[in-house]
Amino acid sequence: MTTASTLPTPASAPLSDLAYLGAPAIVPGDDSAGYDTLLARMIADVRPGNVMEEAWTRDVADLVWEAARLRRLKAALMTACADHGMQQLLQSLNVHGNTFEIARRWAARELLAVAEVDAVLAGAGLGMNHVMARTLALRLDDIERIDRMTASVEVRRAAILREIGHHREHAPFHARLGQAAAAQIEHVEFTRLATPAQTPAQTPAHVTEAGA
Amino acid sequence: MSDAPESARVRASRANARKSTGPRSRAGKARVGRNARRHGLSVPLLTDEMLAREVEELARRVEVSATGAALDAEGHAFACRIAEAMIDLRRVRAVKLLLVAKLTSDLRKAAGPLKALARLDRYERLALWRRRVTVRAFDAFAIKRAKQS
Repeated sequence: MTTASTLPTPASAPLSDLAYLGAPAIVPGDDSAGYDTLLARMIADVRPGNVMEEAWTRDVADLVWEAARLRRLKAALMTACADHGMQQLLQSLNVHGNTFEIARRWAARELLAVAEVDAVLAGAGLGMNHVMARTLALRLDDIERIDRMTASVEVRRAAILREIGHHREHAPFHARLGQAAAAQIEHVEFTRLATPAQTPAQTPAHVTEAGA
Repeated sequence: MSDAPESARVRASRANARKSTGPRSRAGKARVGRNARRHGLSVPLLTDEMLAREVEELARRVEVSATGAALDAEGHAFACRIAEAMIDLRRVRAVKLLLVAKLTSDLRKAAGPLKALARLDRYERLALWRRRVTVRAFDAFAIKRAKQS
């Protein structure tokens, strides 16, 4: 699996810094370095040429991130609620004692409770799959909602990619010319304002291209 | 539509619906009066002076970045509509992030935030649709102008 640390580090000013696109789509607990890397790679691949393309690029990155987060959430929801499933399973097996308390201690990984539960499940020929199936049945509404949200995110991402294609296909020649002109103007101004000690690495990619 | 006569059930349902004329108590009326202000996403952008200024600035940015120059009034109007949709989308996503943060903070109470997120989805879909339609209109306008010149 590729990790954030093995990916190239962001090279250009990230789109997440552009105020008009809003705050980056990260919440507490998210890997913000991973998000920055994803966004930087998107920018490098798409090379947005105007505000609308910047917004689309950022959207696609956000939607990729959101879909991954939703998948993680679904798995985490199942784990966080596994004790509910366990309690139901123990009840159905007519286990004596407070099944709620046993399930709670099992979820807290208390050794005695884990051993007790393992023995009960083994005696009934059941395993963790049965516990997770019970948990799924209990949280089916939430899981379905997460699945619908994930599907909706993926549909949106595909629609935005089509939109970028449509826009680039139909962008008039004069607009491209205008952009090239604007880049040249920027290049001239950049050259004038740049300090003599500036290294080539500090020059934005699109300025270098326009100047070449 | 079917031409079959109304069933007794449909007639009863319609009669019951006519009796429902909204809340009658003062507290009930006060509560529904605040319905549109729960998250403020139904409120038009241009009623907020600061956001209206931001729409104007973003619209200029859109037209200059796309065509290389500021456009005339007609082109600017198209750009303003794109800017409005973009800012609307940003507002929806800000609310969405708060809900996602709430959701991840306690997964055992996921039902509430998940329902709220599902309701919010409608606003995001609408803002995305508006942006798509307005960008296409803007592109068509730019092409027309390019052919004329």
